[in-house]
Amino acid sequence: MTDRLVGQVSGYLPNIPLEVVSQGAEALVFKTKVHPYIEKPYLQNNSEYIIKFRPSKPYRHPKIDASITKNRTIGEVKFMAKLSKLGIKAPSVISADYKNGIIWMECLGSELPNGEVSSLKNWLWYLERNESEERCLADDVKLACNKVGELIGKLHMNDMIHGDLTSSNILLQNGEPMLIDFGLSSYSGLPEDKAVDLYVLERAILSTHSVFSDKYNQWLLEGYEAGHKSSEFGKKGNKKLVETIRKLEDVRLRGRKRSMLG
Amino acid sequence: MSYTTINFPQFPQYTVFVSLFQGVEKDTLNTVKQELIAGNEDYDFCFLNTAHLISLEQLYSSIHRAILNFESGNMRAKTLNTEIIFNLSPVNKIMEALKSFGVDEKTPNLVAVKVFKSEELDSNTIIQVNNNLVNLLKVEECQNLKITDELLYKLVDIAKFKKTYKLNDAKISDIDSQGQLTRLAIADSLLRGL
Repeated sequence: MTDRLVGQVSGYLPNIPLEVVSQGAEALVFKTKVHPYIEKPYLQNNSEYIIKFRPSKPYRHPKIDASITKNRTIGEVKFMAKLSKLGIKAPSVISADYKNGIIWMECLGSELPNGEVSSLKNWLWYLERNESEERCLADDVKLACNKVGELIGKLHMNDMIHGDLTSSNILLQNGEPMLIDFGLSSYSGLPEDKAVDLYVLERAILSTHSVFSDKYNQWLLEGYEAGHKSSEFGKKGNKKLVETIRKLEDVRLRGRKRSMLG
Repeated sequence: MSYTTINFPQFPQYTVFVSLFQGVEKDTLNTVKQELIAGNEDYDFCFLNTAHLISLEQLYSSIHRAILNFESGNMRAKTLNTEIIFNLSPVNKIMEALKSFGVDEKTPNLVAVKVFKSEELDSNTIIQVNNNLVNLLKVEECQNLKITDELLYKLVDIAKFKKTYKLNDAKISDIDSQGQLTRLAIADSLLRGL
């Protein structure tokens, strides 16, 4: 399966060495050491780049398939461009080929001592496996969680919804959190959608970091509050925060789906 | 004599020629414009004014995408030269793009770009091409400078640049503003008309 898709993408990107990083239902993520058009770009990491590729799906009608691939790729690039305009940390776009569903972007994150990428998930797991309990609840973990919450708060204040908040979609670079993977992102000002976004993260933390999930979730929410209360948003922030948190309680009781259908 | 040639790993079959000229006379600029409209083959280059060019990365990104569109048959403009100009622009109108990024009497600095087939090009032809340009633009050789990020940043008109790319409300910190503006400009032109 993956081989066929890699063959497909190599056809679109000749002479570009590709290394598969991860594969989802919708897209494949590759890493490469080659920049498409310049050797020294204005990026922190100018030795590695990420390529996200949405392969065509043989089970869809070719016309619908082409339009879905194109529109989703455009949507994701738009979202990332908007984030960088707002100063919210996320990978910047290098290049895009909408027709073939290819996005080139900045490679963020660093490497943990065990060689894994420094996502929040990998970092917390690394601490959990190799260090003591105190270390897992140390101040820098708290600070990181707070900062993640703050970042999400900022995102929501701009009426942007990530759609797939999990600890592996949050990267840490020198203690600063960054968001990745905007395949399910959308725009909404409704407290409902924001609450569901938070709820998804809460459940993700609960299932992937169950030992200390209470603490982590508490710190994330503290950060989320701080993000809304920043002076940048004035009084509006507090109002939106109250609405979202109230909604979050409803969502916790009933689950992510609003209706029982589907 | 200072030109640059670039090759993209994806397209080894093409070699791109880039050359920068400073202090071109107004009359010459007008002639260039007229000859371009008349379709004179000697002027078969992509001429850009430097007021909206913030960095090499921005320029190369547009050339790269123009070649990509050319190869896949997705060009919007008639020629590859215009396609390069069009791909720099955040506005989905070719005329607007030509107005802001093409030859402009108000900006005396000019970048000439041309895409060659790699096999048709050797170092002699390229020197010849550059010499022809020096003559066409009626400049001294010392006005033909090596294109670098530092030089482009000196020649760019930040106020105009921000206006064209609608970046006046973007949050830009003072450190590395050239890099941040580059990123935003590339993203904006990638999303042109979408």
